[in-house]
Amino acid sequence: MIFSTIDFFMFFGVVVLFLSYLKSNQHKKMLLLAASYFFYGYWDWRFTFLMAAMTAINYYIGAAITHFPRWRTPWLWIAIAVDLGILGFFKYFNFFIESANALISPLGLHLGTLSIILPIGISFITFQVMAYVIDVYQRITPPAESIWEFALLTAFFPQLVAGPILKAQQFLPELKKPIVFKRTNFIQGGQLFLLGFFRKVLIADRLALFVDKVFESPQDYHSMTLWLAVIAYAIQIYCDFSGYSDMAIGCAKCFGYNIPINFNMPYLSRSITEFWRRWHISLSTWLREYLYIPLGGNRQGKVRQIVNLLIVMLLGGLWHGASWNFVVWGALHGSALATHKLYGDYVHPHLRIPPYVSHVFAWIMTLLFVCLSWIFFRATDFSVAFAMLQKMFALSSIQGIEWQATSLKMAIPGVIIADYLGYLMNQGKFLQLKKFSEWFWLWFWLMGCLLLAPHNPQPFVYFQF
Amino acid sequence: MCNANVVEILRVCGVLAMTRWKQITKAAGAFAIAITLWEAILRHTLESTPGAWVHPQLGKIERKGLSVQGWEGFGRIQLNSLGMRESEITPKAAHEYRILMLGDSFTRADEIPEQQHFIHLAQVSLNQWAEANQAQQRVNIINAGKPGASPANYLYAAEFHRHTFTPDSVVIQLTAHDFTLDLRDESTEFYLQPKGNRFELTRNYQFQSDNRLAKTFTERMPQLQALLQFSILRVSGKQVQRMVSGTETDLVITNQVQAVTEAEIYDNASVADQQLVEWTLEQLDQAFPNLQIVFIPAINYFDVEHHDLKNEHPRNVALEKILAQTAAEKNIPFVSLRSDFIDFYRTHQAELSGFNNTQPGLGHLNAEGHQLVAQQLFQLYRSELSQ
Repeated sequence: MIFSTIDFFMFFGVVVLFLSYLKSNQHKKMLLLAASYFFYGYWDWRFTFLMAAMTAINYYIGAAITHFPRWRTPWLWIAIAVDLGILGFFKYFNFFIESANALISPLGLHLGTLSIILPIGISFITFQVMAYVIDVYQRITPPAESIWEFALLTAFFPQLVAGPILKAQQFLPELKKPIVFKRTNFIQGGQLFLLGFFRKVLIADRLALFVDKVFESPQDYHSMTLWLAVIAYAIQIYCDFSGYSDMAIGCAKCFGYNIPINFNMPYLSRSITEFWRRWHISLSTWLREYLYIPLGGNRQGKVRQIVNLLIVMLLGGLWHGASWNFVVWGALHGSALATHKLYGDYVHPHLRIPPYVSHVFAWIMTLLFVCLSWIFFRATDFSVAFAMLQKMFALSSIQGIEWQATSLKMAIPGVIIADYLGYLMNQGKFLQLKKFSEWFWLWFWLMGCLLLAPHNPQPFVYFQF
Repeated sequence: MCNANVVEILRVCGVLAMTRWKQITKAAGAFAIAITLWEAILRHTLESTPGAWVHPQLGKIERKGLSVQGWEGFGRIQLNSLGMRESEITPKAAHEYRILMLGDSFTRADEIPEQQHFIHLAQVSLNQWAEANQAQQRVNIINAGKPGASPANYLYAAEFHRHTFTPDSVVIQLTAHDFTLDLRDESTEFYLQPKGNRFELTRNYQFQSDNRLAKTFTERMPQLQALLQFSILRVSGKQVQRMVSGTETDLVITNQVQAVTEAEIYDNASVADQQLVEWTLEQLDQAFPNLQIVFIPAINYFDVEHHDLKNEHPRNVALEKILAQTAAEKNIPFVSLRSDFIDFYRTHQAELSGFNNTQPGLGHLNAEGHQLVAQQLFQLYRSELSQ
């Protein structure tokens, strides 16, 4: 069920209707849990059992860690092994087999692959339940009071399939709040949802029509069109994913729950380090807290820090998808983070450049790097990625179809407006719907979404992860 | 004491009611202004129509007025009282060589500005040539293109066309879907019904738009039909229809390539297709003076490097061949733009259809496509003029 389809609006309406009829908060939460499982099972009901199993295993291991302190470390490793085992089997089994086949095929050997369906959002669910067990182990958070509470933390439908990745210490206290429908929450949640809808439907889905076509056969297009397609993809993936996050935060807000922001205008970053503080904040926080810091972080010398950065980003890349493209994308970002670290320590202090010049230059370089690295993220294989890069940098013929999609011209002002509105909402500045002008803007915005939406809703890019 | 409480309760209720009423009024007023603003925006950018009426011979046509469309490219055209992209038709002048151009949306070409339309380009070229060669006649090409039209429309209105326009020559623009879809589609306004090995021209008086909103208004609320002239209602109706039905209606290239051998090409055309083409061309030839046919093919540009008619849908390919063959047998000049389109693509790597807000290679002809059609029309009629 995609947030931007009529199916979701009907589902959400029915959930709100039933919730408003129930009196007991416990019943409301049970209904919300049932609705979340329905939401997940809408794609493939079989995977609801997988999610239920992961929930039960991690909940009981969390309880065991608390109740049997002597065995807490083995319990932790069991939980991590089970979670990564499930993720590894469903997401990476065939990838590793195929990679191994590429290595052993000269010896005449071949390993068989399995027909495995990738459960939607499995990476997000795995990271979320792992974070819970690790937090309980580190006594950062107490265990959930009941399995139902933990089940709702895991399955809460607004953020279930594409994040933000919720940490128990952030969201368990939220879940303790009673579900009470308030006008303010609906107004704020509705505006956040609408902002996400605007990003997703009016910007990302429109750009997808251009991007998909060019990335499908880049050899047919002119070098300038490839540059535009890369820029378009950078905007598309940002609006697609941040749109989903806005919608998730907005939906949760309607129930009275607060979910932290996941994006903070990442394309304004002046360094790759800053980019990762602004892009997919819940993932970068997860990677920092549960991987980078346990590996030693920056506490064991410069070389170890750089190695840690590379390991974290390689695994972060692999988390996005079972393909070497994502590994390369992660490696590029890891290298960029390491380079920036070295630059910040050894080069920057000795430079005598006016700040505004260095800021503009840093912003352009960061944006250029991020956009170019998206090629490896989006391209289906390396040959496509390298063919694009060759053509873009005139290392091969630049000739081809020149297509300057109108959607890109609309997307740039669109993304500026959306980011500005997002910034205002993050400051708590919502339309209160008390003044005439506030009603006008709400209607104008709503009608714009209805009238200008493209006709074929695209699934969210991050659903595949 | 009791009275004071009642008064207080009433006062509070009154204040609440007033507050709620004020809120509702504000919201409704804001909604009205927002809707008006969007109506103005859509009318000037995306879709505006002067409405439609039913002409006794031409069928359902648009009223005189301004038509705007922004789905493909951007077009803002003036329609005459016959729903044609033309000024009002005047009697034929002396030394006027009048060509009537019949076709569908490829001919009316709402998405193309007047100066880039093939009719304008061909007319200018022909008249420049006539002037340079001191020919006596001057060419006037009338654009009678009507979106959704097929040869059934042209046959039904043939007499009307001959009498109204008194053309010296008639050009009919055809596409493969005229024969594969439109001509035998009973839901269209004019279609052909098979009667043995012949066909009967039939008018569907129940014909309605495929827009569900328009259908609903026509069937259930005919008194509100005038509302359909509001762009906001038409556009939002389409959007809701697509959201509910979940159909993919944005222009997307399928890239489906089916390779067939030369021998298989004819196998893909049924006997009925051959009969349909033969009967239709025969009727058109009898109905119109000095008939010429311009065929606009659908090209699969994404495999054009290996192009040899084999990359298209086999039935379309078969129909195109049958059309060319039948036209040759009946001595009807027949021009297919296929080789022009492919040569142009190979030279310039630019498709002849598609716009910046659609996908290249898909949809109606773009400015380059119109140039090529204009060149072919020029070639067709230059010799006529010299005679």
